[in-house]
Amino acid sequence: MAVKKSEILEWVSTLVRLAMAGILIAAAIPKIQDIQQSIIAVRAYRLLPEAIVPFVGTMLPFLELTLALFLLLGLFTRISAIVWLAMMAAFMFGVIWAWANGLSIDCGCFGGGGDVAEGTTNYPLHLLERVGFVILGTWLLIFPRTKFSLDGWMRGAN
Amino acid sequence: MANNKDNSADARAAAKAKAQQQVKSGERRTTVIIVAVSLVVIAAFAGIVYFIVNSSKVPALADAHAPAPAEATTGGIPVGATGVAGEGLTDGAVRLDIYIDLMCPVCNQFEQINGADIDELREAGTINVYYHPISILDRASMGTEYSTRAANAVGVVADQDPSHFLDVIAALYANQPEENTTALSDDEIAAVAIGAGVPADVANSFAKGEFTKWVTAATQQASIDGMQGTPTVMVNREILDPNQVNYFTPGTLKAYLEQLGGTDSSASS
Repeated sequence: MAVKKSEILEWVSTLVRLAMAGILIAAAIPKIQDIQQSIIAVRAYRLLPEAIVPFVGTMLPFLELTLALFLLLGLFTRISAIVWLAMMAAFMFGVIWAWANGLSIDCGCFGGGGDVAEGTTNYPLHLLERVGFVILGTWLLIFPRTKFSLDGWMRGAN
Repeated sequence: MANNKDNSADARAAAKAKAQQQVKSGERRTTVIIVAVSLVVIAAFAGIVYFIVNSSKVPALADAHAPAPAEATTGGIPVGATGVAGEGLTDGAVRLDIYIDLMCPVCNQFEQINGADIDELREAGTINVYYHPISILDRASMGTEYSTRAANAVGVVADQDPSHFLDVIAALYANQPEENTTALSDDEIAAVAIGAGVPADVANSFAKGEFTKWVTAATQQASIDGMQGTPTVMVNREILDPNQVNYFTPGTLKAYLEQLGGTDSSASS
């Protein structure tokens, strides 16, 4: 019975892990395709100094893709979950900041982004989505053991 | 006795197996860490190379090859009382900046609501209008980057045939494609421009993308200048908050500009 429970946990964690990889890829691809827009999206938060905005906007999708690769392979799953949570914390801070400062911006989460027409920004929905992502990350942090993972292969349990 | 011996042999075998597994897992761990670190380094390196290549692709606005009438600091194309791009600006008039993406339906709405009022005030010399054709909606044309191509076309017209600048903007609004379609091809944009009075040789040069980099540079500059999506309206270079002056209500923008222009001209006379 106990064995079965850990089996189920591993399967759930596997799904969570792959979902997170998928989310990151979905977020990174439009950014890579229109990197200028990614830069504008970063700038729109008015959080970072202009000198580093283009660099951050360009590197963001690369960071996302690298993390996606680690999650896809199930490599250093717990550390990946921590990186994911750190990214989410930064994004949530950005969205709350923008909201608090009355900026009308798209979160830029899935590429595009930047400023949008007044009143079309749906901050509560964005934050709700973020909370969902945080739950995924937290789950993987607590239960990092998954199927089809390099972590498992490293332990010699293939 | 025999049983005990068996047990200890089993235990020894198990311990050996465990030790072997630990060695194996240690080896695997080392390999994986090397691969993982390499991956991170490669990704970081690729990102930095991409960043450098990309930065060199987007010139600073001041360095970009720009349409003749375009302002080097903001990317705005000024239109004065005569309606010809770059000509006939009225001294002391209120400066109106309009940031537009030709793919953006709200910009079209803005044009339909305020276009005639703005033309009237401009012709009367109350305002000078600076049009900023920029590109923030390239993602809405299924990879054909209509926003950039349309802005480039408008730039070519400003450069080669400035008297039809406003006509082409109006015609592109009239033929505005739906978002998330492949939009208009370069030939279709050319046909729209020819319909608005642009000579065929000018219209057929849109496809060369002479001002594509300028559009990108002007878009970046617009974002640095605080452009709030499109349309963004600035009066004397200050962003006009639609919550204060609701320019989507017919007549509101006109009244606001007239009142500003009134104070302006009374001050100067």
